Amino acid sequence: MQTVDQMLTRPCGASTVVVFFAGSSIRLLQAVMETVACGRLAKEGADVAGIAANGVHPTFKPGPHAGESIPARGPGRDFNAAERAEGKRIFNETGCHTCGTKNAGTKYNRPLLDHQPVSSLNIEDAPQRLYPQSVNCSQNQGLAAARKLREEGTK
Amino acid sequence: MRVGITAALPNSIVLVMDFRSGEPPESMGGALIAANETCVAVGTLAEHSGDTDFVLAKRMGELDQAGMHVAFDGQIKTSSGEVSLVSALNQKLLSLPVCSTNVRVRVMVNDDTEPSRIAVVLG
Repeated sequence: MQTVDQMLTRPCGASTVVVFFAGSSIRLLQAVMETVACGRLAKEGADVAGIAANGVHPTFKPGPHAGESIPARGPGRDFNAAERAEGKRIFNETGCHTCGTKNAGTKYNRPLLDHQPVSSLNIEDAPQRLYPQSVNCSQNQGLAAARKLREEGTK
Repeated sequence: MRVGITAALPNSIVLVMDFRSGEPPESMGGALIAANETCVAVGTLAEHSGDTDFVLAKRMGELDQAGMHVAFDGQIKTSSGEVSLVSALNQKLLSLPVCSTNVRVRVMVNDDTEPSRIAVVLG
């Protein structure tokens, strides 16, 4: 069981810094260090990038690990078996489009299918594509989308 | 007093907060639950795996606790006199009135990674 205090003070994982030092710019590394310094949670790559990416959360666009994608039939989440199977195949090859992990974090390692552009923010009804995503990145996207929707007053 | 709903929520996440003033955490940090001063975010059963049962209650005794355990025990700040379960689409799902501006929140789950039953007890 975790308390609020434990969550707010949980130390950041060293792997975060290593991952971003190897693959990203100095600017991003500085953002990581600032994040560590202020004690925020920074365990997963997408978490940290979200703070540094010029105001656009990294899950609001196809990520750096995006490979193939599937045309979306619409913004709905009523995916059919063929779409799920294709998403799983792509995930097995290139992993989560946001963070690259091949551990979906779900039962049977089935990835989520992520609409891009993000449905709740796609106010211009742009054509969407589906990318496989881990549950952790999907949840972080949900947090970021909720914050953005609240900021924009679309309650 | 208790209220409930069954749903497969987008992004496999539910927010416990004052709908008027809550601010979702910036990250789940790879954990099932993340929190700040105004909001507790709880991961659900992956949305493609099926529905999750959600209950919001005022007392622990109102719950069927079989197979569930407390995964979080903390407090959030409120201002409107109400605490809600909210989706990632910023939709209010369930609400209960509260008397205090600092509300104790206990989250019970039946699984530490993908819970299909989530109960939130206020106070």
